Amino acid sequence: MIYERTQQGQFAAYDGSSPLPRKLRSLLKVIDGKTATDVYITSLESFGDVPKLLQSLEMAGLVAGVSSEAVSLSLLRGADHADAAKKPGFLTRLRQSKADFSTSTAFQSPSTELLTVSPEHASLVGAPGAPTLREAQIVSGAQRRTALARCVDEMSSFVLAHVPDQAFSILSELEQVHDLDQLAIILGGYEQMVAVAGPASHSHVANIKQIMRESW
Amino acid sequence: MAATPEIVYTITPAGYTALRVGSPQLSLDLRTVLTMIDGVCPVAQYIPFMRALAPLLPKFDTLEQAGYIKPAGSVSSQAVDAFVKSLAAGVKLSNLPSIDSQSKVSGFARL
Repeated sequence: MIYERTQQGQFAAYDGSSPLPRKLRSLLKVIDGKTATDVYITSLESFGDVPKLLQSLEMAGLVAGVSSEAVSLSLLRGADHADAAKKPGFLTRLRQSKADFSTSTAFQSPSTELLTVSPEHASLVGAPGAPTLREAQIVSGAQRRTALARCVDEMSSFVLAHVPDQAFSILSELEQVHDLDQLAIILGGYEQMVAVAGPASHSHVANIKQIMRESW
Repeated sequence: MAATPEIVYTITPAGYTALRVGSPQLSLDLRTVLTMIDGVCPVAQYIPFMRALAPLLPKFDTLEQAGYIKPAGSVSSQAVDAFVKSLAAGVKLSNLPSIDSQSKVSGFARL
């Protein structure tokens, strides 16, 4: 079985004024219309009875079940799910990043980004054998994406292991992060949320900051 | 204190510990309810969205008695009545006012 958000569900997931409790809203946000329910059940086991939560969302008219065959056909035809096919769901992205940081394209920005070039990169522009400005931009962009993927992977693994009750919220927030600048903005709030894990959270956050520093 | 639709609950440190390491007192249904508590929404606001776990009030009672949750505040009974009547009248979610207290939201939402 695969669930997709209804029109009401779309509103409830993204409108802050919706009466849907925020953790249920986080669950609703991860329903992408192409990930099988089994994947949610096995991956989010620590959250309790995921089938009942999904059933509740269905009873509230926020999601509707579609058969996996229908989704496959839709993907093949490139119709409604064309965008979804290009962008893997968050669980898939989580697994991809765990499998291989360096080759994964899961966290690549969908648009061509104009990156800020550091002075040391700028000084190389035009020197014999040195990378061009564009090459420096590409290298810098790749490093930042790799660093972002590492950070998101570390953070995802940490919250699933240490603060599972907050993981819905945090994973869905992380899903919206597309560059290190965004990550830096939310890091303070993240640090507060994982502080309940005790000393382990301090070394974890320090590690994240180190990864970010290395890429800047 | 018995759970009522007006009460806003928050998870206690013992509740967080039970979620992390498990507890024989925490059945799957109770764990699911505990996981969803956000310290913002009154009980009334969970009921229409967690119907597969009904009845919810006894579960909130059990969690409170076990020390896993505690009341953090409450909303007015008029607000709850209006919310319940709107639901019963079939008002669409897009027209249904939230009765929680967003000012109490912590973490990312506060940034």
